[in-house]
Amino acid sequence: MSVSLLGTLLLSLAILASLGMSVAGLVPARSPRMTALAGTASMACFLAILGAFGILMSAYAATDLSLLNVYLNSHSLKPLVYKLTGTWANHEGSLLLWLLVLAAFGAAMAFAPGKKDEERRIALGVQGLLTLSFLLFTLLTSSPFVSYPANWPTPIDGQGLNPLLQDPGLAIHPPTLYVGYVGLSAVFSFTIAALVRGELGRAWARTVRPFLLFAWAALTLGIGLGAWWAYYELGWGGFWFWDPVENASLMPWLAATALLHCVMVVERREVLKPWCAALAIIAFGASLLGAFLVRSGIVTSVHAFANDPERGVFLLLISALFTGGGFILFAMRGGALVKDAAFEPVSREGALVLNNLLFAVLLFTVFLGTFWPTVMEVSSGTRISVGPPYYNLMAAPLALAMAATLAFGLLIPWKKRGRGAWKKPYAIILGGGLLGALVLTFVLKGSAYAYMGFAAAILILGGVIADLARKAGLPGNAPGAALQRLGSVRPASWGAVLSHTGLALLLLGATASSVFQAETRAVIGPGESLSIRGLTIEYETRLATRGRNYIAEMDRFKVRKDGRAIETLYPSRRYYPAADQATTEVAIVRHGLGNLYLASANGQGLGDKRIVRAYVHPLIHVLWGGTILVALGGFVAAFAPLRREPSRAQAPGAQGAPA
Amino acid sequence: MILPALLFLAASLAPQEQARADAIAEDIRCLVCQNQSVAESEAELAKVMRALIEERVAAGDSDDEVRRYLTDRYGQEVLLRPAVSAGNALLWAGPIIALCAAALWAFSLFRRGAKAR
Repeated sequence: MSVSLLGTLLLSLAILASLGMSVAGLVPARSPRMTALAGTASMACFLAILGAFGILMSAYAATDLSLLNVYLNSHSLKPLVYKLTGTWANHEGSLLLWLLVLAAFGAAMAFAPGKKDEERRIALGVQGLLTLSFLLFTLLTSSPFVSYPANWPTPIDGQGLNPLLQDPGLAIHPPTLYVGYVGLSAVFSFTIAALVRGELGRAWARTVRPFLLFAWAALTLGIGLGAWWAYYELGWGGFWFWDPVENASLMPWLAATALLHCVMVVERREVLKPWCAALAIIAFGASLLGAFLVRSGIVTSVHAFANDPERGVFLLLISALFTGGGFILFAMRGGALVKDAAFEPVSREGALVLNNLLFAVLLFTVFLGTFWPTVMEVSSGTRISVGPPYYNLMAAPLALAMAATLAFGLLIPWKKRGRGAWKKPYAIILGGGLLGALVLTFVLKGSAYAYMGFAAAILILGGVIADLARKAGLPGNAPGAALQRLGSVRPASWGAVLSHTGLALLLLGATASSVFQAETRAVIGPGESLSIRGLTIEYETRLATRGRNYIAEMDRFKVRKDGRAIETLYPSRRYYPAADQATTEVAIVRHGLGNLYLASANGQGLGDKRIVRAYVHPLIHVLWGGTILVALGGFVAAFAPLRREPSRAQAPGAQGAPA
Repeated sequence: MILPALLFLAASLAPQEQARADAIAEDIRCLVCQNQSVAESEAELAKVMRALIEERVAAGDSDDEVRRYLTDRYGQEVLLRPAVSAGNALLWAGPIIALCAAALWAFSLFRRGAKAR
């Protein structure tokens, strides 16, 4: 049987299975057998899509030119690992990956521990509908299993692959990001089920928590990988450009971050339920919007691919159907969730509400900035840009406010004012953070952005430390007793500690590496040098080299500090004949916790001179490390055991203070 | 077409003026690149635009005059920081309106909570 036929057959089987999942999940029959059936169907659907994905991947490994998709996107000369990752480096293949993750989450929803109740059945039904929609989209408009046309000339080799995509960062960036985007579908499905049943409370919060945390952590990592890739591959030393597609990944992240804090409030206090439901719909809606943005050609971006209006319309339809349907359901049922419980503003839940609102404002701002150029072009025909200056101006004060609220929320207990014990430490943190950042900014001659970034980082770090001190009973406890108390802190709380610490480091690294970066640009010939931050960089000579599927021209630079050679750098320019594309490979070397970043280009009429750009990005490794910590905290919390049942957990526990 | 080498040699501004030109260039979009400012890009057009900015700065233009010079030639799209104008009112006011709405909502929530208590 041909690969094309087998793949299509497996996807058709998956359609049947997802249909079964939807029907068993959504028929109005309260029977455990239906729940079991939906679960079995979800597993069948996952296996069928896994099979299809495996077939496509092996076709890529073998450069099987009988598939049009392989012919258009691969080449036999590519290294094996990039042949494999090339499976998802195109529109059709990436959709199949999307489907695979969607079905995997469907199966995980069915087989996750916990009660196999009505909520789970309906959630599986919704997840089935989602899978079905994307399967139809794939098979009808974007199947990777289309055969190479019989009437075309016999292919000699594939048409290669964008060399920019032949890169380890980009090989793992899409799968990680997709786990994040698509993981939010599970949260969405459980929320729809809860709305249908009119019961969105503690049980719902406990069910969605692991899915949400896992998806959020993956999304964090995926965004971080994208930033890292942009940093070393695009060649001008930036890591975040407020590009529409970056924004498309940031929007679900912001919504999910707000949501996971809101879910905690529902779990503890059973308030804010309608807001939580709305956020869950917004978060997945933002994921769908991102999928639409990347593939519709509506925005210009480095990341955009498959700019095809027909596919765009189909995707827009799916987004509108599920997001719109979710909101209609919310409008009908959300009101019933309102519960006028006693709500103390000066409490942890109060702080979480405030932070949620700040996240919502930032989300709205990013949304407005991303779509404003489109609105302007459609309404008045003028083309405008909304770039980093706009977003930085809006986001930096919000980030500072969020950090102040975060520290406050960490110090203050749930429900009660906590007898004012939070006041003194908070005053110290707030005063110390705002003043400390001022001094730091003044000494380093930084800008207002430097101030806000530093202040935010110090406030968060201060909050984390004060929180840990309180957990350990410090000051007051003996070191041994303090350690013992820290040992009994729940793993989920450690997750929060890791993520918040990571966030502080991320802010610190982002501020230092962008506000305090040094840049030197010069045109120099062999033997000449430029200097940057006390380093002298001398251009020595030009070397030629070749890789498996490219030829390259390298330049050798010697880096000297105080006259002593400390490093040799080889920035290069590659040419990929198969794709007829050239790339610039920068040379990066760690310099303390920062990087020395060197790019060299040759130009018309320059002879053997080079246009050299050197950057020093201080503390950029703190940024990467912080991002990893944020994600790690999410994974830790996702797999941490749930709290004991609330009735017992509410009783004063061994920890004394609320965790 | 001006040679890039010439452009590099032509730049002979006082350090202070050069810093001003660089700051302007940071917020000017390179139209042939995707989401890069002309300060960051090595594209030919970006070099030309950098040279134009330096030329205008050398001629004594204010920052706004330089920007107007560029938008007259290349359109509003070159401004990475969109103009504060009537047309963009919602873009600039939107976040502030959202913040006010959020504050109102929080206030009503806290009041409702206080009543229930």
